[in-house]
Amino acid sequence: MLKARNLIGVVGLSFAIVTTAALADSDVYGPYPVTVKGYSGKKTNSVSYSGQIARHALHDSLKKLASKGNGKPNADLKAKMMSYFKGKDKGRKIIAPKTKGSYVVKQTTIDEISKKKNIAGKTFKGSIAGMPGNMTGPELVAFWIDKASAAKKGVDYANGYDYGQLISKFIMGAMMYNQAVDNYLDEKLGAGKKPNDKPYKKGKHYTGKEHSWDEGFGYFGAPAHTLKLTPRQVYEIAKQGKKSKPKKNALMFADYNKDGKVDLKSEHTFGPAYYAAGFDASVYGKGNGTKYLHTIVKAFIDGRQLITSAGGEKLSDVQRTKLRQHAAVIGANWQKVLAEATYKYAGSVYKTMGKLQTIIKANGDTKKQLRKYIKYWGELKGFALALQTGKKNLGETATRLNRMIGAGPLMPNLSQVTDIDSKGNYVRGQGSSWGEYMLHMAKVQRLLVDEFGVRARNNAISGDLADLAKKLGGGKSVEND
Amino acid sequence: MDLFFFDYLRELFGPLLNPQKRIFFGFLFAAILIALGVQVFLYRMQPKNALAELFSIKIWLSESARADFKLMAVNQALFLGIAPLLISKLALATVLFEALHLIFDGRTLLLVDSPNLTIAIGFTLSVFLLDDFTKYVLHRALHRYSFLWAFHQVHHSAETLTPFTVFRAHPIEALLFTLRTILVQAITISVFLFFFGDRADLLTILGANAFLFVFNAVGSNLRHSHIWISYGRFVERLLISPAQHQIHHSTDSKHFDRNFGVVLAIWDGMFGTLMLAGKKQKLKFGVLNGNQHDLSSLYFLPFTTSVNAIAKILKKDSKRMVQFLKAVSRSSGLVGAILLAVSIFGVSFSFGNALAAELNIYSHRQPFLIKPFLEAYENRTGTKINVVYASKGLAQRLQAEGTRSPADVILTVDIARLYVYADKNLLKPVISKVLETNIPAHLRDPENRWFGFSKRARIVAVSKNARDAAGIARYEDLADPKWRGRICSRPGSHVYNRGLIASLIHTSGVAAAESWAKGVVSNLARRPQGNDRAQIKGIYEGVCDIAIINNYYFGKLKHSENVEHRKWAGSVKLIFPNQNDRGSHVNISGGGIAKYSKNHKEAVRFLEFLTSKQAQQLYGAINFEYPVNATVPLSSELNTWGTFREHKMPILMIAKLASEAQKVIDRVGW
Repeated sequence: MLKARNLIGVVGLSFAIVTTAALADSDVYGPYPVTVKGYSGKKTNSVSYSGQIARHALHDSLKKLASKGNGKPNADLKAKMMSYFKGKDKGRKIIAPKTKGSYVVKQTTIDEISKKKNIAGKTFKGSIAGMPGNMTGPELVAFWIDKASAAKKGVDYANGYDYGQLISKFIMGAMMYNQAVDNYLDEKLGAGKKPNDKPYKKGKHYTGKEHSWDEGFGYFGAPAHTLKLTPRQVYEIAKQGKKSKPKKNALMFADYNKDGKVDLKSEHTFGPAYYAAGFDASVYGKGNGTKYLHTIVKAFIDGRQLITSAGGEKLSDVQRTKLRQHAAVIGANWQKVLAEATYKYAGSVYKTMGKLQTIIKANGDTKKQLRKYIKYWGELKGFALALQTGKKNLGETATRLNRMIGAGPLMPNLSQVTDIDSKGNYVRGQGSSWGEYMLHMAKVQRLLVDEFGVRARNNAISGDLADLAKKLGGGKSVEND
Repeated sequence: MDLFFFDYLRELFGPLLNPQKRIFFGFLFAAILIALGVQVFLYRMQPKNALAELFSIKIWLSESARADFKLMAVNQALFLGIAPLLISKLALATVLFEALHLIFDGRTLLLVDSPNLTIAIGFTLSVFLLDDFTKYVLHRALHRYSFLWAFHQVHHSAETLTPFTVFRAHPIEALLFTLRTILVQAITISVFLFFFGDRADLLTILGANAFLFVFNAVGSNLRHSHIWISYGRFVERLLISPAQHQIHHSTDSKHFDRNFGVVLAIWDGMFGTLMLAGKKQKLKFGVLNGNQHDLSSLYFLPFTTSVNAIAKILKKDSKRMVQFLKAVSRSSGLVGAILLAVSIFGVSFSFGNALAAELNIYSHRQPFLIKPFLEAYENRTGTKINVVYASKGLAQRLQAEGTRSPADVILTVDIARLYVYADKNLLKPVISKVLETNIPAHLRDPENRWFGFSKRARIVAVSKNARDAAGIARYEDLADPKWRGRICSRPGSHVYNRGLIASLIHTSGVAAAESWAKGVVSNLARRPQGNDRAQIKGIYEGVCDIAIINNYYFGKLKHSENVEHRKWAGSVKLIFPNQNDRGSHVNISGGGIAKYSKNHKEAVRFLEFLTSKQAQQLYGAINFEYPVNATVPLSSELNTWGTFREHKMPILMIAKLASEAQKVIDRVGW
């Protein structure tokens, strides 16, 4: 009996080592062996970021809910949205991402991914200078949820807000980006914080540093096997087949363990990674050979391997310095992705303004373009605010972004939200001229190039200027006649 | 250094391989073929002799030609250093592109249905024409003005001409041509991109502007040569032939100031400087006052010549200058005394300030409007006042600063904006008998948090030419369909219009206000735009006959330093509406004390000062606003506009009904 148990133990251990070694592919984030000293449990893989994936699913679901309003105050909808934002209740269904055709999603409830998770608790608590009312991050989202629940399909045509977009893009910064770059990849890399020679929490099978790093990776939302895929494929995964030919390709790209289902915990593409992939794959425009996605994921993997290699010992100063270098690469590239997105939507807002102007001049029907305009503006504003939730205060750059974009879009009747009163009503006034606001968009793009060095530059407003200038040649000349 | 040398070699020899440049080897080769063809077939020369003449050592290795090469070598090195200092055409194009948005208030693409090729042809042609024309203009200026000719004569001092003589130029001249290129390209790029988007494209042959390529391919290099090629009487009116350009270089005085053009002869034709080549002539090249070929003379002499030329020009005006300086020196005693007094005063003032009370003001009102009040108050009390000015965002700033805020006093215009501060609980109630006495109850907060300090009336301006419009007596009249297409207004969402609509809601309810607003909108002559001044301009320009404005805009225009503005004001007549019933709608400028003011007493004293006779008169004198203090007489200017009866509703209601008014505005599309 004893022998049999020993045998099982030996076989089990060697199996664990063999599989871990076999799967410890340097192109995939995990599995990584358990290194916690004295760990007596059965787990063999120390990777864990299901809490972050649960929050991604809460975020995607909340965005979906934001468009369910019927135009009248709706307490039920508001309560439901709040439960996805602030609640920790059991039994919340995943509203998005859900199975779509051949793209079969393994989990159907939030609890299957991770229990008792919410967004509000992890949302940036500083005051958001880019919106009136001096609200903190969670207050602002709650304010938007209240408005969204009362707006028809989540859109306010009078003031120009698309709440789904605002909420979603803002959370991509205030939760995902902020938690990763300002917390897990910053404070928690300190020598005294979450040391590597102790479990993250008592009894856990991962060390403090391992889990901190995993959580950062989780917030980025990339499939663990991203480096096995092209950015285009990672993008198609997020689209769940909508952009794939044939549609089932999306499942093929995502399903790394070939069980026929997409495990949200490690195989799906969420928000930040989706945008990084989009820019790199030039799906929004001609692009410029950026490599945000692979650079970020590679840095995450390199960092995690470094931590794993410490074998459960405290990290030396040299190791932590190296780790901080990987974190810096991640932070810088992630910031660029947000800046690229802000840039892209400033361009979309600008283009739609041009179209609206033509339609208005011809006394045409603006409804369709207005809908687009409000959507793009929501994405622009959401990303511009997201950009400001990083590790560093952006100072004057933030002030300029906020002033140029304003608290609301300039509406065709030249009104613009300027404030929110104590009851939460918008206060509007006469905004700038149409041309001036268009110019603001051009300047926003210029600012983003100057301050963040965005390179993909999708929807560039004055992009062809550079091409034409180059073509004309002869800028400097000593020729005459 | 290695890098510099590499760059230098590329600059020097790169043009030989670059089809954008005239001395591209292909163009040189074409020129040789054309020259030989002309010599052999037209002038019946032996091919051997023709070749010998073409490559004559007397020409190619003359002292003059050697100077060309030296200048070319030095200039290229110089420009490597200068070019990065110049504004880039991309930067200039960007600024122009952005400015166009303001000039045309937005951006509407033109000729959306035209084929891309048409736009590309238009762009390429425009670049070519503007480029050629500005070359003509600059070239002519280089001959016309002695201080510029000083530099250009370096080029003309060439006694033998080879294709490389094109590089024989003083760096100052090269700089002028470079700036010209930047300007021309920036203008065409920005304008075309603005109106045609990414369809603006350059038609190229081997990467060079197609038009210029053709010009260079058909022998432009022979312009600087001894080969006489005339295009004949007809073509030479359109295109400058090599012979015509050689005439331009001739030392014969009858050839002076002729044929400035580069590619096209039409500019010379238009401005009377064209000379056709005519029969083959033997020409002598160079300048009359001695041709220099040593580098130091070529580089440095032009500076002294140019400075002398400028001095000569200045001398003409010098008499006036001398008189001016004499006057200055005469009054210098007085100036010195003033300076001394000012500095003594300044020192004592700043010393006094170290002890004096301080007051921090957050103001939405423009600095020039509140400065006289602050100065008057400082003079009276010695209090030091600091002002933070911003047109928007101050309430948010105050809110964010919380208890740490240095603000004592808030000053703003419009009750709705003032109310925002009270609504956000950013103001502290003030107990002051002076304020209560000086400000009528309907113009201050029942809870004493804010106070009106001046009144501004929303009135109607009508064209002096529109007799019928003079009959307008009430706001309600503006909704009458008989004014269809005759009213100008700024957007409805502006606080001034929103305030007026709120007053109508207060008077007759939402439905009536909405039907009024609907009527006004259907009477508009154009889409609501601009500020109140722009509406008076609209009347002056005949766009409309009637406008709704705040009274002081009329005063500002009437007393403007700009003659145009005075003309606008002169074209209208003011009507104070509803004089026989409730009175004209007024709004206020006002203020209050910040909740966390550290200088509360001083702040109260300042608010009281603003209602004093001295300050109340200033409102009228500076900005044509009406005093709230009933004991203060109107300024003489305001008196001439006539007294009026105001609508005495509680001003607070304007703010409270703002949101309702905004809904009306949205519904009627104002």
